[in-house]
Amino acid sequence: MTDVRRSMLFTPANVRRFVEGVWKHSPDIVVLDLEDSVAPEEKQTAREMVQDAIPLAARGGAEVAVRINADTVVEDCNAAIWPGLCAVVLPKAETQEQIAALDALLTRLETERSMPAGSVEIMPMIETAIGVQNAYAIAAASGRIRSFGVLGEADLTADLGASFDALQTHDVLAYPRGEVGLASRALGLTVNGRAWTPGKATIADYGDIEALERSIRASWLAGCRSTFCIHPRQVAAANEHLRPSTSEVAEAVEALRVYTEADRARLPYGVLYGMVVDARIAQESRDVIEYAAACDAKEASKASRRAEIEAEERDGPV
Amino acid sequence: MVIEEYLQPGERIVASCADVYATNQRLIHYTPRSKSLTFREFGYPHVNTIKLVPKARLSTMVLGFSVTLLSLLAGVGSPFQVGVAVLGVAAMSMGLLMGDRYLRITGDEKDDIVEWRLRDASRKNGKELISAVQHAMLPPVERVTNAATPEPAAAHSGAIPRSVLLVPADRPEQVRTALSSAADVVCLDMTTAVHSTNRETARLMAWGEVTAAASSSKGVWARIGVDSFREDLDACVWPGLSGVVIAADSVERVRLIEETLSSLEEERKLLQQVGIVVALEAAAAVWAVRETLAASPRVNATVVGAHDLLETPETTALRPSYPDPVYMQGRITAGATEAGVPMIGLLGTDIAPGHLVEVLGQVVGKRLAQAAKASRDDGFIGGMTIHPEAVAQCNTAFPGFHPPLTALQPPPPLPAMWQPVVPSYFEVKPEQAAVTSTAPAVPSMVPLNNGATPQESNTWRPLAAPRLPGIPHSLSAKWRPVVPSDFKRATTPSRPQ
Repeated sequence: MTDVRRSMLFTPANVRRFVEGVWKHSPDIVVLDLEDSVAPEEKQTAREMVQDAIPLAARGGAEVAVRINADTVVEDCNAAIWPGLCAVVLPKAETQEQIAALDALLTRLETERSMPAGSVEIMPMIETAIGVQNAYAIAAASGRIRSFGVLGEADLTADLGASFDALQTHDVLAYPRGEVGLASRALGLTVNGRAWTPGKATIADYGDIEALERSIRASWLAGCRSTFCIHPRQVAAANEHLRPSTSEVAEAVEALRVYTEADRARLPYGVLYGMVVDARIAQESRDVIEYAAACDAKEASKASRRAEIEAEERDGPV
Repeated sequence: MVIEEYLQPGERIVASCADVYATNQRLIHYTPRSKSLTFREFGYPHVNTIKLVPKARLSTMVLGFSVTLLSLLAGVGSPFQVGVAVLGVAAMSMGLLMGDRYLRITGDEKDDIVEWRLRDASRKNGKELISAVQHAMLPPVERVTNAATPEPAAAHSGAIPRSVLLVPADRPEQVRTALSSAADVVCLDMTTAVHSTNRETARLMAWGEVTAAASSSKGVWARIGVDSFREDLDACVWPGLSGVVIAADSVERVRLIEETLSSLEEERKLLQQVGIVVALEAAAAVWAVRETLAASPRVNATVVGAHDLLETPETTALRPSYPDPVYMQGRITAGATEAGVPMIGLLGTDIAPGHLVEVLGQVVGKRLAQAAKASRDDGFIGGMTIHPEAVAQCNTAFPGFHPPLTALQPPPPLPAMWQPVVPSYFEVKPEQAAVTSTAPAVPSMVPLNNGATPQESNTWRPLAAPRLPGIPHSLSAKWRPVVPSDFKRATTPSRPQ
């Protein structure tokens, strides 16, 4: 089944209240954070809490990932790699050696903790100039990397000496965005991340809901399949707009019909609204229809889990 | 309906074989079916005549002669011996009168004759008849042996077309129309524009179309499939083909095409090397653009999506792209320039032929012209399109290859006070100055043309940088930017007068 991971909501692993309530926001992935949203003195507490947090975060039908710290990879992984975890988000990825070392560590932990081999993905975040320079090597460094393209915009602008606020008016990260996006596509990986649009639509500044929705819609049209969120408002926008719209599905169905008819008549392509509908467009249409169905299935699964939890909380544990 | 009903006045079938018919004017591939039929034709450029020639069957005659001779040597006596002698004579007569029929195909040259025995034609595959005609059209042996080595790719394929018209290779009527259009190059599409069940037909017809195009004033390219490149190349590499377009995405793929082309050129005695035009269709190809384009000296152009016809200031925000189009264009332009390969832009290939007005409205001519101009401004030097209507705009907007500048003379020297100030690191060295002063025409054109005039080879590459030698994965020392050690201008005037 196609993975649906539109919204990936960061939740501090050390705040139990947040972890317990994260299912209410209905993200596709909950990312238990051990990095930026945890104060340095709280890191050890967070590590101790993360194993118990995994099943709690997964209650609403979401997958669970963990964001580790780039400078305490071994400690964080030792604390966080437990059954139920789908991915490790590695911030400030800079070299392929870093990825290879993490891959080896995950392999060892999976074996020790009776987890299926290769089940934990690596999601590198590019947040430094060196990371941009090595983007392709990083993305190609491990078979555990199945999606790529996320820029840590705040850290990257700081590393480049650029203004984060300037992102509201023009894309100061156009080159890094292009580099990681192309590397991801060249390697056939799922593209994560966001296309640039003007306005308050960055991960840290989401005050303008219209700008946010416009940005996420643009990201979908540009081929991105998931985005990190730090606020429930972003989760709702991502779940709604980072998927094929009703009109897109209808158009894909029509395109597929036109192509099937043309193919039956032994024509190389059909014509829809004057546009060529060839084998490539037909395949894209099939993908859109399939992905829309997968999104619907994901929503249905999460809704039933939510209903179960609500019933449980209302009636008390069975 | 029988094949005869499709013949032109004066046209008659000379020979047939399976479902291929040779008339005195053309080859016809004709397959009647219950509800439809396949009718394809192959022209005969370079074939002057094609006729049926009866020839005595020599082996039967020799056998009859031997039997008669033996019976005569034994002396005429018994009726048996007479009978044997009569049989021998009968065999000789049969060999003489009921001989084989040959299809004789005469090419352009006097000695350019091929004969093909038709005794068991009905059992043969139609492809054999086509091969016989193809063989007749190969250049005569004398011409091939006189040519020391094939011309290098640059000398031939440096011609940069302003307009390339893509036509489906299984539609000869469209190919014929394209050959009479204003396009510089006609590109036979053997891939996406041909239905998968028709690809074999397209391959069968490619030879006739390539040779027909070669006898016109057009260049002819073929767009071949990545997965079927061997079959496609086997079908289309014939004298006259000047380029193959393929969506290669790696150095290895380009080298594989190069090897296959070399062996086919040698086998079929092509006089000119066939160039490779790399279509950048996949992200992996764009990522490795410099290496891919520099993988072979045969790569003489790259095809990439140019200015989007559907894009207007109003729709740009609605059609976002990731990676950013500016980044992609920069990467491709830099890679292509570094590899010394010019870019040809795809123009309006999303829009179905005949539907331009429906999609773009009545201002279609203006929109086409704007898109071609915008592509030119972006660094493209030619346009590839499936719309015959766009050819004129491409020819206007793009530079292509320029008319020859044979009469160009250096201008008279300016008075001293008007001499331009040339920084010292740009000054011409004395030995270079000597070479330049003896060159009668534009110096940069001479080495590219191999001494030929521009009309003969059309080799001028206006925007392309010089090609890197070999396969440069890292820049050689001579490609490093020259940074003068001292920005002060030399005080002693060393500029040649």
